[in-house]
Amino acid sequence: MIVRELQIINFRNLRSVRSEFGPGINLIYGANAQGKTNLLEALSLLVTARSFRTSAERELIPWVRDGYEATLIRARVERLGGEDRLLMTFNQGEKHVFVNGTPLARLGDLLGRLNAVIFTPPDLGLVSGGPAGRRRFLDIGLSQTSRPYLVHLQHYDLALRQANALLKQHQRRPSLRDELAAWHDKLAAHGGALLQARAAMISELSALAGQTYAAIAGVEEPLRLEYLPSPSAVQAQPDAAEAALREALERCADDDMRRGAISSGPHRDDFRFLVAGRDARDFGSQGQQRSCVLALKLAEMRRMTSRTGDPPLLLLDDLMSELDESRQRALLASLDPCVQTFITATERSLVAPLVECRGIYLMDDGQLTREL
Amino acid sequence: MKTGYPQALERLIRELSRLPTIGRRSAQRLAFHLLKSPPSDARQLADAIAALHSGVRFCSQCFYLTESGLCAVCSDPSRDQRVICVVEEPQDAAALEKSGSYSGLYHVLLGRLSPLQGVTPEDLRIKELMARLETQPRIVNEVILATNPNVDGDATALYLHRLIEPLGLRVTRLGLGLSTGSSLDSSDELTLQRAFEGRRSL
Repeated sequence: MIVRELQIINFRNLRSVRSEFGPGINLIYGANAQGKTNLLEALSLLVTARSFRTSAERELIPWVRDGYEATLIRARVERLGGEDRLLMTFNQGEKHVFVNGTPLARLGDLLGRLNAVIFTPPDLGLVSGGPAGRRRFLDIGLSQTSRPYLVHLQHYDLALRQANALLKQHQRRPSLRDELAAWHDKLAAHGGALLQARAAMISELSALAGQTYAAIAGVEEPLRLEYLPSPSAVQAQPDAAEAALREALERCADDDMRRGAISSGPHRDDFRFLVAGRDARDFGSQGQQRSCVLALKLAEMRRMTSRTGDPPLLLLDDLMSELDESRQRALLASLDPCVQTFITATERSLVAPLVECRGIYLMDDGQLTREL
Repeated sequence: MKTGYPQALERLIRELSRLPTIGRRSAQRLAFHLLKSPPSDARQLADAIAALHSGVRFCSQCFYLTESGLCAVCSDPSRDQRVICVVEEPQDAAALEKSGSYSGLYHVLLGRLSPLQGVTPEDLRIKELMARLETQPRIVNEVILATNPNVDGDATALYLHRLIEPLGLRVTRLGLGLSTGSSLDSSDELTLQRAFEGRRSL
């Protein structure tokens, strides 16, 4: 996919940006706090309909500006077999999304229209951080490549909140066990689908990341990803995930009623990075952990491409200042000229001499100027 | 923030804005519209609202809408007394009535299970449904669970299924699948999946 044209009005410090972009590497450079990340964030809103930086939508609109009416993000996207015009508008109130002039009933319907792998400095903590970040990574990827996954995820989330509310607020009810069984059924049906999809994704990513890890890390060590599903029985038999989850929910029901929360299911999933058979979270150096993340993100690029037949965008935000020299070089060397890549950096010289850029832009106080 | 409207106007705006989907802005627009219209318009609306609760009741048997006592469906001897179709809201029964494809009786739950919103089985007309089934075991032989096909509606149906199953009645769920006149390529994946699961031989 290629974003041919992007227009942003009233988004954080970007008052009015309009530019054309081509395939290959697009470098956006400028000093800190000029708006580089804001541009990538705006673009990513068209990918997931949500911000990768904040869940507080209020922050997205400029807060000191007279005569503010609305925020607008518009893109012309070239995709396999056609072109889409995407438009998102929002203000303090509602958010609206249009595809080719037609409004979407649900924001979720946007997913899969513009695919991207988003890589920002907080992602570098994906190995060392908590499991919620790793589950989020899985969900963002799978939601873009599989519409049923997204629907199962939304339904599972609702069923989980309902079941937990039941367990928390209605613990003393005599018919609790019967009521819980009804939600168990929904949890198992939707949760089973999530477990199965995640197991397949991780085994695919494991194979892909294993191929590139050695080149990134500069040492001949094998990387393997290992899925740690909840319930753990899913690991051996992902195809029977629904039955395994149903059985686990049933088995833990008494404990769950005491604790006031559902204790098994994909909301308790995790996966780990095994470098030469050892968990990189416990035994890896910071450099090793970062190599793992790099390998994972590049593997995700290839997974999405093979799933959809159309390479996603790659959004790389301010990674040059975070990575050491050898990993910077490994990252730049791995960029595919057929993939539209947006890369931000504080200095032009951090990227431009090392790799062929098809477009170079300067971001200065919310103004984007094309230099190449 | 003081708007400075006369009290009667302010009161109307406040009452209107308590209605679903009506915000303060819309409430103001409606109130000013009524103010500019002839007083008889406002009177007619007020009468209609005032008469609502005295003129509409829930059927004493199935909780569908009626003017008094039993509803038109329950009091119609030509309806099939052997089948009860369970729906969430009166509007759902009205939609089935409009389709003309159903000739049995109804039972309206007046809601769906939702612990998040504090809705428990006691808040629904489930006790009354069970009483109907238990007191008329020889008459009723099938219960159709026609709650909405979403997470809450499904859970409600599953809960009812567990309650009713021991009575030995036939329990069915409305078929799910493609909507008539739609095409395969315009249907979403989950609808297609459910349509496949619910396929039948010709």
